[in-house]
Amino acid sequence: MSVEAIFTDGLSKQFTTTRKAPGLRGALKAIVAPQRELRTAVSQFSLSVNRGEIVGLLGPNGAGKTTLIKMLTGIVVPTGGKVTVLGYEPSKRATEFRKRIALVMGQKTQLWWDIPAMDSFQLLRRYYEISDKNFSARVEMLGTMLGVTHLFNVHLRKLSLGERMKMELMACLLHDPELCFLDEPTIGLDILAQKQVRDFFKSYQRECGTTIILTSHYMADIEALCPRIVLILEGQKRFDGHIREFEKILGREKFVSLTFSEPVDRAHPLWADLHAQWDEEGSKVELRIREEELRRVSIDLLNTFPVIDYSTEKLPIERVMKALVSNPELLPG
Amino acid sequence: MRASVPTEFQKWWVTIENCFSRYMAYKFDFLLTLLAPTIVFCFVNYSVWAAVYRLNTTATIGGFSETRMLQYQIWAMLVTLLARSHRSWNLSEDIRYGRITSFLLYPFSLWKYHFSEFLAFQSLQIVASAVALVVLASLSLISIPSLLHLFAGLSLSILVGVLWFWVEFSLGLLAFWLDEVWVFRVTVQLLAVLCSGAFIPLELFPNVAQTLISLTPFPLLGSIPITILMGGDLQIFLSAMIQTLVWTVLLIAFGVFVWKRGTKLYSATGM
Repeated sequence: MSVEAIFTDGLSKQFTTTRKAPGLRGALKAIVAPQRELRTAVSQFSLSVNRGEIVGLLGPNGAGKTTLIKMLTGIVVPTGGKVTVLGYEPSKRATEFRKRIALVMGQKTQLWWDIPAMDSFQLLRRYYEISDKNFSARVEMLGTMLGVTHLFNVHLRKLSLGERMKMELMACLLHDPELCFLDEPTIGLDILAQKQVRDFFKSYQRECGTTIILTSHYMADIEALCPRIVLILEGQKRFDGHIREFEKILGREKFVSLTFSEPVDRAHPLWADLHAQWDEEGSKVELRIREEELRRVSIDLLNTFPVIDYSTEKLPIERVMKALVSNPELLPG
Repeated sequence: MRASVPTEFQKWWVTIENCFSRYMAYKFDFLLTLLAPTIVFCFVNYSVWAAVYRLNTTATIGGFSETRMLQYQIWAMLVTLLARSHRSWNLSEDIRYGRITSFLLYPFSLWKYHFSEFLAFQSLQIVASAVALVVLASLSLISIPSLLHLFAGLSLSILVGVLWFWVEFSLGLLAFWLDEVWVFRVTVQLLAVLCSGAFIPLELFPNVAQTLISLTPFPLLGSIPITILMGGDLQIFLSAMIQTLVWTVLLIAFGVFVWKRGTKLYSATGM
């Protein structure tokens, strides 16, 4: 068995979209002479993921993360390049391939709305040909890990968003997939539910060794689960490496937060080159300071301004991400 | 015991069970689905034709006496229940809004899922039409020419139901290319009502129209099974069965072609 779970080489996807000018005139024009254009969603994407790895796909909206996942799961057909997932060509949608993967879509429900989750599980049990013994064991294990065993017989439409998401997770993992794609699995959940889902995947992956590809806009998900990060910008891979390397792309910087007893002068020369982010009043500021200059700059600031609160931490991945999306030229290569 | 049942059969069976569960989730809606054709029949077909005969000065229209026409309409209602009631309303919407994604991932195809839904629906329609048949026959509103005619007419109607499923399914799949499929579907449904002879017997149509319609599968959806059920020549049964099978095979081939081409264009919008 190959150690590689995913391999892509020059993978690309282009979509044809139609533009329509506003109003009735635009609608008529779109019928007579539709304005079509080719849009590249993913371009020349090469990636290799080993079995058992957890990889976080990062990128702003429209960067191509979801299109990439759709190609890896066989939902959409690539327009170019090579791709093999668990040794299969996904777009051929072989039954055996479908039995070995799972996709969790945070923005879409895959369970049947009008019936209890257990009825849906029974359906999936037959579709995935899960033996009675395995089915009972998996339902017990996943239900206990997620704390939802008491909700199996409640109609899905009567569950809260967090409870529904947990049922979705159960449905996707019932057949013990070797490879699991998680597309925004914590979207819309409250902080507590987000943490529960993250903790669940952490212990699930540890127990089952499943390969996981995760996309999320919540950096906390990525930080908690993914040792490896792949950054996609405008359909292209711009970074692929360990999360610690990613954090250091902007250099060895510290994130400093200061609160003042009263608004201070924002035009003061001390703020230059510190990437200051002010609140509206001017009484709170967040700064990025090079590690070697932290001591000197902090002393200057504390001596010059009426500081009532001071905190420092390593640059959060969220900030690194924000900086790179607005300034892609900062990326290596 | 379970282990001896083929896994493919289990997948179909559990899907049918699942459909029943969903039908039962909305009891009033479910009851209305079963009763709607009979209610529509009472308010529209029966009233219209009764009024036409009241206003007409002659005793027959195109060879149909009032009693015969009303019997024709009752049989038309029963045939419609079996042959032309299924709707794949959700399919085009599911494609448009990217909701078929799950079925590109499950090891059970979308057409199998929809066909299982159809089988669940069809079994309910069979029960509903059997009840209606018993009630109508016991009230002497219809006469059954022979058990053989009854069996031939009903089994043809059930097979035509499969043909109609593929019409609906293939039209739904056009959503891979078209943003709005409902105009197409409503047009086909209106054509089916008109050209099947379910409302106006085809014998009342001009000769040219009758010839043109006979080249389409529409008479199978109404006129032919009704003729058999009203005691017509049983020889048409065999040819009607063959025609139904040929049209069904052609539609399946079309559906498979559309599915293969369509899924290449599918973008799973909204995911």
